[in-house]
This record gives sequence, structure tokens and C-alpha cells, in this order.
Amino acid sequence: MKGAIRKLFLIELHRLWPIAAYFVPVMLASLSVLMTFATGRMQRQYNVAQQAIMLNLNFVVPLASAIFAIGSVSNDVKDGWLRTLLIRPITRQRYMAVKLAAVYCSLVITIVVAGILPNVAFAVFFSKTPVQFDLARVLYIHALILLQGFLYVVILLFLSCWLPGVFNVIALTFWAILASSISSYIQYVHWMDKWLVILKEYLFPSGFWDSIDVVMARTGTPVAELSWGFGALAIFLALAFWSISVIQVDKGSE
Amino acid sequence: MNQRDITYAKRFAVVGCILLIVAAALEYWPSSTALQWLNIDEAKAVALRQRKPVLVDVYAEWCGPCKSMDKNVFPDDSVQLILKSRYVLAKINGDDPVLGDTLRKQFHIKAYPTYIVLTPTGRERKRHVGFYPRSPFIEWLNDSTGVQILQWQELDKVVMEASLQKRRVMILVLNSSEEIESANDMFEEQKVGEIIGKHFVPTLLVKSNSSDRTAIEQLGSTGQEGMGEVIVLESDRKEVGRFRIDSQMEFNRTALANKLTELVAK
Repeated sequence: MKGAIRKLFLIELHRLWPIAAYFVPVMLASLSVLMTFATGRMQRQYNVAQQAIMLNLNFVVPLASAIFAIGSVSNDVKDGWLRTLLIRPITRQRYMAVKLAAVYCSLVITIVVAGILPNVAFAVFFSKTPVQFDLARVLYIHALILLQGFLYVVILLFLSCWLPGVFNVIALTFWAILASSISSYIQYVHWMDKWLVILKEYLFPSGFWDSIDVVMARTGTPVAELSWGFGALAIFLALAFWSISVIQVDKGSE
Repeated sequence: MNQRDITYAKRFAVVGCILLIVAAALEYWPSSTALQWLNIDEAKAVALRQRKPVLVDVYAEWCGPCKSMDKNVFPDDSVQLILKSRYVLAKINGDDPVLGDTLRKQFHIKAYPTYIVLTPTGRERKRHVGFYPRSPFIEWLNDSTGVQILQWQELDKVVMEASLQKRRVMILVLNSSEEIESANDMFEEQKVGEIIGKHFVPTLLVKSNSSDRTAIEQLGSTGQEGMGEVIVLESDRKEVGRFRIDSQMEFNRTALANKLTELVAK
């Protein structure tokens, strides 16, 4: 069984990386280099951790996770690939686990190429101002960035079980924008309403992102934020595994 | 091989629910800092004794950014060092059933958290509304030098000085203390500064500052538009003229200098 899973993982990776997909990290890396040079030259001190947040959380992670997870499950159902897999000794749960692993590996590769290398290269070779580099903090922040990326991937795969094609990405984008708009509206209009103000903190699963703020502020361990991040991650993993178990693939396939 | 097996989903859901409960509990767990927060009256008294400014933190129990400040910014060593050495600290619960309403009105609170720096005499120097990350907050706490208009003396002293120097009194009335830094840039500009230095004794009144309100009402300054207005009085408090500071003047300092020159000539 392990051999079959490894083979399926390699096949999924191969399907995610056609020749055209190589342009994704290259294109994102080029833009990252431009952004790093544009912003890095303006800073009095080049802060590697701050730049990692700016590049990855605002740019590389959302874009790359959307590109690699776009219609991931729905397209497999539509083109019959999932049906083909399920007539072999592969369960739906293992398919979901492999799919998650393959998409996430692709995202990690892109983060390394487009989000980490330009940052490190600028800090080492091109920065004309002093470089602020705290290894432990940089590693901590990158771990949180990778977790936030994994959360996006899980949500996108869950949505892809129910929504066709690009709609999983559209739904997540719409959710993020809506949550941000509602949050601003509550902040400015209903700032006196206790329950609405509490609710707005939970409109979008941003626990890992909030943890990064705490780490950057150097004020202890973000236990509540990490619990919110891991809690949301577990809930969306549950939803993803439940969804793959109940969606209709093909009545005659199993 | 059960294709409809939801064991994984159930396990993840249980773990997720436990973590969410932990997150919710921790979010509302009371946090403490070593800072000594006083009530506003105590703080004013201590500030007068120690000749330190007062930092007022207006918060609510349910306000997320307030908790975030308490948890992430106030415990920071650098922040604590500045706050302990240079400020007297006061906390106001905007939802306090007894005093909340009065204090909210007194300090013109429109959102939580609001941070106000008061002079030892209780005069508002500057304010910030909303969450402040550590570094900008430190910068904000440190940055009270260089705002020259805050050094302008109080109205009564200015009137006396104007009478001694045989000059006129120039009163800058600002609608909010958030305008202080912009106003400082305008009124410290070389040409404007020269006119003020040569012909007027200036003072500053801020509408959101409760201690300035009576004087502002007596001057009949009611306009809410723009940054505020300039009122020029003779040393016997007889009005010479006034003009509103419009957006044009904020960018064109010559227009402001011309208006002041007109009042000099009157």
C-alpha cells in the first residue's frame, strides 16, 4: 500500500507541475526580487523577518496556494481521474491526504524559490544598509508562514470538493474580502457592540497570521493565536476529509 | 475498504473543537502587566507632583485591539521602560457604569482603544486611536519634542504677556488634537513663524480638550470644518479678527501668512 501511495503522490506532483507550471515560481520570484529591491533600498535597516512577512504573507503564499489548488478536487471529479483512482485499492481519505501533500509540497517549493531566496540573497549580497537578522525569529516566522499556507491549501481543497473549477479560489477570496469589510464596518460603526466586536476576530481563520504579529512584537508565546490557528486548521481538515467521503464521484465507480 | 469512512474527519473535528475552546478561553483570560495604572484623577495628581505627562488609555473589556495592546505591546521591555520612566499612566474603562459615559464625553472618545497624552496640568497634547504596533508606539511615546506649538503658553499668561509687550494675542483653535502636528508644521514654517514672532503672542486651544472648552465657548468658536481657526485679540481681549484654516492653507503657507498679515494691518 505504501508503494501505491508514494506512486500516487509522484503522479499528483507530476500533474501539478507541467512545463507551464515552472513559470509560476519563476514569475513570482522575479516579482519578489523587484519588490525586495524596491522596498529594501528604502529602509534604514533591512529587516529579514519583516521582509519575509511582506513577501510571503501578502504575496507569494496567497497567490501560489491559489494557483496550485485551483479546482484541485473538482477537476479530478470532472475529468474522471478520481473515479479512475477509486476503482484501485485507494480510499478517498488517502486520495485527500496525498492531494494535500502534493499541493502543499508545490507551495513550499514556490515559497522557497520566490519568498525565501530573494530575501536571503538581498540581505547577504545587495543590502547597502545594516541587516537585522535574528535566526530564531526568522525560522519561527517562516514556520508560521508555512502553517498559514497549509491552512489556505486545506480550505481550498475543502471548497473544491463542493465548488466547480476556479470557484474555490473565488470563494476564499470573496470570504477574505467580506471578512475584512465586515470587520472594518464593525470597527467603525458598531464599535460599541460587545458581541459584534468579539465576533469580528473570528470572521476569517487568521490565527497563524496573528501569531506572527505577536512574534514580531517580541512579547512572549502566542498561545491563544496558535490555538486559534491550529483549531481552524483541524476543523478545515475535518471538513475536507468529511467532504471527500460524502461527495458524489460516480455511482458505478466504487 | 470503506470509502465513506469519516474517522479522520471526526478526529480532526474533536481536536479542532478543543483547540478553539482553548483559544477562546485564552483570548479572554485576564492579562497583567507590571505597569501601574491609576484612575484619571489620581494620575493627574501624581503627574502634577512628578511633573510628568499622563498617558491615558481608554479601553473596553470587550475590545480586541485593547487586549492585543495589553498582551503584545505594553509588556514589551522598551515600552515599559519609557512608560515607567517618563509617564504617569491612567486607564479609563469606557464602559464603566458609573463614570464611563462622563469620561467618554469629556475626552471625546469615538473608538477603542484611544491613547491620549496630557500635560501635567491636564491639557491634551496628542492622541492616537486604535492598535499601535510596538515600534510606532515607542516612536509615538518618544516623539513629543519638536512640537513647538505645544510650548505656547496658556491663554491667561499670553494675555498678560501681550499687554506687557504691546502685541496682539493670536489664538489657534484646533478642532482636534490629531491636528496638532500638522498645525505645528504650518505655524512653525519660517515666514508664518516670523510674522507670529514679530506681531503676536500665540496660544493654542484644542476643542477636544475639556480644559480648553470654556475658553473656546467664550471666544464663540463653533466651526467644525477644517483644521480649526485663528482668532486675534487685542491685549484687552477685544477681537481684531478671525479666519478659518481651510485645506488650501494647509498646503499653501503663503495664504496663511497673508491672512495673518491682514490681521496685523487691521
